[in-house]
Amino acid sequence: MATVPEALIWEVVKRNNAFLVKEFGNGTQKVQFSKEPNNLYNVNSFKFSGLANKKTVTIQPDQKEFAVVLGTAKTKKQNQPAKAVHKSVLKKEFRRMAKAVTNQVADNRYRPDLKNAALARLSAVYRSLKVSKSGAKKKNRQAVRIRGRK
Amino acid sequence: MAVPLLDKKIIKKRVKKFKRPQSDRKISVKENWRRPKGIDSRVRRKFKGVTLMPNIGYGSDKKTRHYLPNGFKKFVVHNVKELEVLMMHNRTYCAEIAHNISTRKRKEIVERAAQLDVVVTNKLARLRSQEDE
Repeated sequence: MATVPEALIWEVVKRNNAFLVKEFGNGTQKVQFSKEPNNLYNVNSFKFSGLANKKTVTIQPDQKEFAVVLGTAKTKKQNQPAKAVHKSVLKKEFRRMAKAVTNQVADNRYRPDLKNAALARLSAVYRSLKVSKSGAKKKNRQAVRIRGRK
Repeated sequence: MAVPLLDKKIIKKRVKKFKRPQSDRKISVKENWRRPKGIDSRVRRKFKGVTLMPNIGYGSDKKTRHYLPNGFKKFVVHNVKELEVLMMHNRTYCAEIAHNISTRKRKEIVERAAQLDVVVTNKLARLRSQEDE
């Protein structure tokens, strides 16, 4: 988003936008999530917002090839949304994927604050891919009520 | 299997309902709670042995408030896209498929939830019609 400061965009966008999922009104039960693809934790906050930040990180599964797509936003292509994302497809084993993510997110000073979030999301995506590859086992993937939990 | 992060025991201080005083006397006085406001009311003045009144002290611990007995908080989901949001929160939130979602879409949501390791509270709903097919 061209020349508008990030903080201003966030003020505009934080209360309502197309990606925001609000539930349970405005009381203590309220939850606000965000559906943006470039929001690592899917929470509605400035730090993770994909709309307000110039530099964002995307980690998405590629269902057809069982690969993880890592995308980072280019700051100079803000006016051309189609070209704005620098994508790289990760197909290697997990450790090397994690290396690639830390390289592109933190080690090159792109968004060092998002490093842990990116790694967490990477492992979540990777696990979901593994499950979808092997087929969900009907038994072990569901809620079991744990007795005796404090 | 997603294990809830919550490690506190959920304690409800009171599970009985607060009944409106004198609702047993007249049909027109329903059981739904109304605070007694009369100047002489024994209940309002909190005499010994009278109906108890609700107050903030009965509230649940903040750390376990809104948690279901399975240790998760609930999040109502209408489609797969909304379910994906829970990917990074699968240890605090569980999904509940909205009541008006068709069997076909329910299947998709349950399948995706299994991949994302998200607990679905009503994953068995509308299953009977599946078996008939």
